[in-house]
Amino acid sequence: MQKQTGMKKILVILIIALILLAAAVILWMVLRDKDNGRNSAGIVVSDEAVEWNKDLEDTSGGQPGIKIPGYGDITVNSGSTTWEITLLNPEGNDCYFQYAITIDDSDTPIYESDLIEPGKAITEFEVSEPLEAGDYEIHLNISAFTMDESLTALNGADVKAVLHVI
Amino acid sequence: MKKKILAAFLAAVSCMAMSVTAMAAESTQEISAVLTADPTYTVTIPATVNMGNDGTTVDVTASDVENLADGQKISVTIAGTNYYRNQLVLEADRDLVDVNHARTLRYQIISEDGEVIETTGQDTATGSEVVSFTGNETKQYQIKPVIVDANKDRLVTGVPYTGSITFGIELADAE
Repeated sequence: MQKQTGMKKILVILIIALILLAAAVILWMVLRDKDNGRNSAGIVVSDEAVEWNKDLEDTSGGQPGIKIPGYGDITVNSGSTTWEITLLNPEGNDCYFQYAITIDDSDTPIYESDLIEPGKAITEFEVSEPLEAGDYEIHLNISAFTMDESLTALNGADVKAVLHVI
Repeated sequence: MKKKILAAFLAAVSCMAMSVTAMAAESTQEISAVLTADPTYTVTIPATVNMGNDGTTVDVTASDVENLADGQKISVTIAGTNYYRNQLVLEADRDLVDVNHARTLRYQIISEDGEVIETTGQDTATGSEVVSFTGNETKQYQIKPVIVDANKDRLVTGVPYTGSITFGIELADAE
């Protein structure tokens, strides 16, 4: 009888140990996945970016370089902090894009994206403050980085356009 | 008496209901739609500033150009560089160059119009146009290191001098 009780205790301890081990493995996997895409500078690959499948005829003749999207006039709603502008990293680029949006001569971005992979775009985002109705100059500052661990800065662009806030 | 009061009350309620209906029919509803702003053109710029002793020719391409108005062009300018005060200067790794040699190297950009764009410390190249487009086309500019007698012996061969440019891209009035 005493032997049976002892066996039961060992079994319970083993089960608890197994549960703890499983929990530790799950926790390790979750933390590992969370750290993926984050470099030492704390820059992460955006999980807001979606596949961008609109047809763009490639008339560049396969020229190597960085494809920078340009914009005509852009319109957003006044008083709204949700803006619908396609922040695209064109397919075929061999680098990450990071967008920082500034208005007129301000150096303070009202929105900064995480890294966007080639072929993906952020189509809706929240700016830090809404704008009153009127016309502004919008700067889409694009920083490009190599896709290896070093995330070396490449040539970038400051894409300027007219922003109509209605 | 009660019936009369009830009838009057019902009549009043009916009138109010009709006037509300009439007002609703006359009121206008404002509808506005803001569509997602998609890109309307693409400019392919070089990924890095890369040249040999004699410099190099660089292609810049405009593609996917849509709805460019008459009298408009896509202007590509120098918006800045990674060097202090946006100077056109490349830098070598500090560990690869001793104090007796030059760790920096100036460079020039020669625009498609032949304009030489360079900086000498106090000035700036910001805003200088490099190329412009009025449709789907490829243009070229030249980029050259500034190697003169004064710095020739202080430069280190075999050591990469690197830097990056931020290009300004916008729709502008064609002159």
